[in-house]
Amino acid sequence: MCRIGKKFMVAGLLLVAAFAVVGCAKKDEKKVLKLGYASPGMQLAYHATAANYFEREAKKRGYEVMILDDQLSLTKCVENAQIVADAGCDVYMSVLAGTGAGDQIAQIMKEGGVQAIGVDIPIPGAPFFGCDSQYAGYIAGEALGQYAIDKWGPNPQIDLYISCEAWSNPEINDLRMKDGMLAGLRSKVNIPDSIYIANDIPNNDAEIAMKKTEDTINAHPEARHILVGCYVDDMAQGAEAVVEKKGMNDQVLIISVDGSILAINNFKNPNTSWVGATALTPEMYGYYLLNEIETWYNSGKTQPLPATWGVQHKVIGKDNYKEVLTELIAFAYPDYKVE
Amino acid sequence: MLKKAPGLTGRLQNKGVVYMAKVQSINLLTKVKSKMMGLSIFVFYIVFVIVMSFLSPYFFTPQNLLNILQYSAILGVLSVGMTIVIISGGIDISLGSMLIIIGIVVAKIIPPAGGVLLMSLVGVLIGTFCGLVNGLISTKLRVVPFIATLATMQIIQGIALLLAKGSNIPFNNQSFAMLGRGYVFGFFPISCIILIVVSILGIALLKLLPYGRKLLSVGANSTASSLVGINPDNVRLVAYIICGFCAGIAGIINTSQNSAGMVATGTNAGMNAIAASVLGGASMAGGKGSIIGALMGVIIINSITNGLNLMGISSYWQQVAQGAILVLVVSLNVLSGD
Repeated sequence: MCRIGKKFMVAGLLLVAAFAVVGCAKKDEKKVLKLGYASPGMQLAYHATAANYFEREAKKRGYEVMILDDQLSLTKCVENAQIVADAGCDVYMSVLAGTGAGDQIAQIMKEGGVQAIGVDIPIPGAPFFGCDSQYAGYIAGEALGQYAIDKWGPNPQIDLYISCEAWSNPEINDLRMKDGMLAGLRSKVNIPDSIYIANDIPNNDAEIAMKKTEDTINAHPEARHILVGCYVDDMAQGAEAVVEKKGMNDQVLIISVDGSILAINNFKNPNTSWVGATALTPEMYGYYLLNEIETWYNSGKTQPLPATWGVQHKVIGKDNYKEVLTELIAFAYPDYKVE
Repeated sequence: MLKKAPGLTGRLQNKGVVYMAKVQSINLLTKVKSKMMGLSIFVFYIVFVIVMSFLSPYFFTPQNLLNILQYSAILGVLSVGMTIVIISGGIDISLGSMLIIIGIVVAKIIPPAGGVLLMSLVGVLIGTFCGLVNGLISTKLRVVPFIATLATMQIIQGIALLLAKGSNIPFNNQSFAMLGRGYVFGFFPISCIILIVVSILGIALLKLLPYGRKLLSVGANSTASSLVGINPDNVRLVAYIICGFCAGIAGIINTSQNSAGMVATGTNAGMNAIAASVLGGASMAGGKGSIIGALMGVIIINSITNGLNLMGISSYWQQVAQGAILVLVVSLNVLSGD
């Protein structure tokens, strides 16, 4: 028995040694680029799309990827950032980090030797990638103004401008809706402050957008020409529901920034008041991010990333959404079909 | 008729009569005060309507009041189910997730036209099933209802997001959209009719059926109820199933209004339903609650939102106002001894 026991011990030790050798040998192989992408909240359709396509693109290129959900919480964001650093990732990308934990996360990444990239919201000292919120809002506002001119004649009198906003994200909201959309709209039509009503729509909830838009319209029964600008498509979906319900298709025009399946589906309705949306193409985040990250990584991390880069933005409407979206997305994803 | 104090004569008898009169008037005052406090929610709403009518000329109009009713349909139906669960001594915070999954599933399978009844059945079945699961976890596995429904809330939401792959799912079925957006006779919202029918059924359940009495008994004292032959677990299980059924109906109205399965819908639905039920007099300890009270709670919550929207007041203040009113009305209910 003693001899058999000893034999088993020796066999076990040899096995452990074999694993250790193999493990060491693996470490000597070329390390695959490892990415950590923190979505602000996977229950937000826009950010879920961006994260899902990022993962798809990363896997297509043969990289390791971790997709984390910050659950709209800065505490969770910092926790996830630490996980990314501890997991030995080469790059960390986050939307939420720049909203309040930027300095802390920048420090975590510096200590972990991880390259941070601020997505949509800048992280201090890190490169920035994302949509140009101000530009996206501006071209949407400009397009809305033009639609108003086309529908109601040159110099139309606008009686009410309802801005459906997201005050929980003040930096992007102000860029998109005030510096962007309102400025773009005012470049085309007259919008005095007295007719400008801004409504906060928490969590981009379509039902809340519906209620607030209807209440605002009801509080201005004399308004005949009404414009509605929306932070995202979800809010426009709610606003459009009100217009349909009240039969005010001739009196209201709606525009949004997003250009998701909600907008596309809506454009199929010939009577819709939802006339356009700036396509932000979250599907392309991964493609454009990884193009630059790849260049940086393959240079041995010596060639710096651009200080700022992003996706293309174009306004889509019922007449051109198929062509524009195909142009913007299908070249990278041939299976992408605009139905 | 004031009673004369027995065994007293002359001046003492007169003093006794005066004393009895004072005691009786104090009792009457206390009763009136108690009744007023018990009706606090109704009193509060009347006062609120009067004040809002002065602050906004658009508040007290037939169209606006109908709007408040229409937007109360989803929360109202949820509150009927929640009140029943709260009376049984439980709670269900997974209602918001049920709204999401119902919307996603219906949006995925809905035909381009028609199929209203079938889709409604699908939504109701999903909600009822979720309620059944909640009830089984709470009663058979003996998990505390808050924890049980917290867990199912996350599970249901996760499944919904998996099905939707994180994206909203719109549809163009106009006949289905009529449920949430349409009117009868050109002015009365269809969703309100649904709310009224569900409320009547809820009231009938509590007041007319033996189950209602069992529910109140179990909620008030589970041990005593079991001693008289009532099975508390079965009563509670049925309560959760009914709550899920109501969530199914609310989910259909919600999906219809949005004409889409939305991944970020039903924000705070569960909490708002609890607030409405408590505003209406339901006791979190169980054994007490009112469907009509809950509906009043819903109307108050939506009226506050509506009134402040009409006045252009920030949604942050709306949150403060809703919380303050909840504390005020519930405090009045507690002080009245209800």
